Amino acid sequence: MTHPTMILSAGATGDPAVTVSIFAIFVVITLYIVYRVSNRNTTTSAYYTAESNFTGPQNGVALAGDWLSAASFLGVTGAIAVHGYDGFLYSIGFLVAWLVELMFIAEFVRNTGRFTIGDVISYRMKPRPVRAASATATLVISFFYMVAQMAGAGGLVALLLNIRSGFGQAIVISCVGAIMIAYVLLGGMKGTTWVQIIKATLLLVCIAMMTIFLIGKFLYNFSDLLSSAANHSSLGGGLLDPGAEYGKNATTKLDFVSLAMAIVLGISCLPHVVMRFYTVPSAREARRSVIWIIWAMILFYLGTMIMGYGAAALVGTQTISNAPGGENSAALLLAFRIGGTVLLGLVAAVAFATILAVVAGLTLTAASSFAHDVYATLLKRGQADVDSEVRVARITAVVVGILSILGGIFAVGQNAAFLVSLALALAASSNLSTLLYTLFWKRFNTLGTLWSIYSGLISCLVLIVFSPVVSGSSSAMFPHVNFAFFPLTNPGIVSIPLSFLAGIIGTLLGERHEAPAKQVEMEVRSLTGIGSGLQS
Amino acid sequence: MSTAASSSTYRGRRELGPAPVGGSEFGNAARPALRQRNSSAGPDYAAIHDDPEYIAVKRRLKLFIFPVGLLFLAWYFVYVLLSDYDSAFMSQKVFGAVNMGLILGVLQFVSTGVLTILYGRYTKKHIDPRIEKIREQVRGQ
Repeated sequence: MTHPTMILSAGATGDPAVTVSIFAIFVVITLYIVYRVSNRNTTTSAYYTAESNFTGPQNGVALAGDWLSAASFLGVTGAIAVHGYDGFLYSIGFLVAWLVELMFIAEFVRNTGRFTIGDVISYRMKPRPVRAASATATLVISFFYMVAQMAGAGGLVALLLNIRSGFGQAIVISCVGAIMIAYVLLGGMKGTTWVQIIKATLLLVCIAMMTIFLIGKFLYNFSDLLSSAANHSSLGGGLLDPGAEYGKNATTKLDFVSLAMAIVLGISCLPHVVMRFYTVPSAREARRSVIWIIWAMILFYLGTMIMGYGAAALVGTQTISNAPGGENSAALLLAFRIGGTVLLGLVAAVAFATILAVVAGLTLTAASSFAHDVYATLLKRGQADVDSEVRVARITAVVVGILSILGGIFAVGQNAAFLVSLALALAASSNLSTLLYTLFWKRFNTLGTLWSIYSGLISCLVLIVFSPVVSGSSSAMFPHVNFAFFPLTNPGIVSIPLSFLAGIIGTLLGERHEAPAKQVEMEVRSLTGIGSGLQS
Repeated sequence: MSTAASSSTYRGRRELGPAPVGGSEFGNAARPALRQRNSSAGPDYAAIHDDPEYIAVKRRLKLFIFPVGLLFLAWYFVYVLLSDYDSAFMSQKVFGAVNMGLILGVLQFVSTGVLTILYGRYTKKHIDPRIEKIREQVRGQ
């Protein structure tokens, strides 16, 4: 049972070559496509939203590409292989969250906004302060999410290419970052969307192949797969029961509730997810996008469940935990066990492509929010010409790209899945309350908007700083000092209700009838699309 | 799509950033009919807002999304809390190595799929045609 790891860690000569060549083929093909599809990204709507010309199914697959980061592919499979049931719990939240998107966000956002989440939130409010708040939230959330991805990339590099030195990893992260910047600069939204579609398809095909193999291997007997997984796990039968990771004590249990809340409420209002709905021409296509991604997610997470238990059964949890990269290596060790070097190379290359595409999507989101909300609306007071707005978006993309490379280099070794969960808590705290109130609550006003965005954002950040993640425990960023007065690692359970509450208090303290005509306009437009210039 | 003239002015305005289309600008537009009397103005949102057909479709949509939304969130949190605080219940074996937790977890997949299908059907049947009707009235057909 130990030989795959030994080959993976010791015999680094064969595997990296295969991985690098498959990855290089992916990069060449996608760069060519990006170059072909995006010869005229001269207008803002072409650069930010691909002229809203994608269909619902195309955008649904691209959404899957945006959402399925390396953290969810490698992370969830590994969490199930090592922690069993508690890992599986994650994937349920990742799936159910899309129902919030389907019923409460997607269609309304498509009808109301144009380029950014700020378009929706500032629609009937005083535009300048609200846009500034919304852009701040977008940039902070995207930054956390991006650092998580780049940190994951560093870990992956160590694992796949057997590069252990910090300098070597930094060089690989920089190369990955440079390719990503090229996608965003050249391709804008159209190119980036095609990269997402290709990557999501590859990823789903990989998962399907491995899942079908495992189902065949265990002769369609799911119970056998589970027993075999439990037999090869250090947890034994405990692998299949809840509590392996979060059942230790009252604090860890409450921490899990907090995490579950951040996951199910955060995904639907991540800025880069919301932005995807502007690439389709109508609310109906936005709805179809979400329906497509939900089916993709059902297949994906059923696949990762079988792969996770399959990895425990075929590779063994002990082997996975001891491999370089720990939990994250489960999917790769399983691929090696099933299909040797070639499948390992393929899965590894897809994992790389995943990080590349997700970071490209995030960079584009941050760049659009800066160029559209901050530059065009706040600095130029709506008088910016199209050329200069697109130029600013491109420059921002380069700056954000470089920042994320630096962030990734410094964040190597941080837990990617954990950083993602913080980004989700931030999104749920600052965006969800605001979006729901502005769409469904008449009385909501500018003061309420500012209170709900800033209370969520600030409380979330403050609680993270004073959590055991930053200080006071052996695995903290600063293990030698202790200022951790907040016991939970995820702040969602406090910051999310707080932002809902602050939104109400702020609204009651603010103007009673701020812009009634604008409120009526927004309500009609968000529901029917009238006045948006969109198709029905 | 609204009329060609209005959509082009609208587009021109929207290029400038946050739509400065104020309700007050169009508050004087023709009230009784939903159609746009003056092609240089936008749609009369206040009239649409008070239209019985609009009120009906809004109620129809909210009647679905709010109860169903509360329901699936409650079902999700019940599942999370059971896994978290009643692991004895969730660890009960149902058949072979398959326990209660796994079955309820897979049921979360099933319920998500079912609600997706139901929402798709409901909107297609009760929401889309009515909204299309309102939009046609606004276009003045």
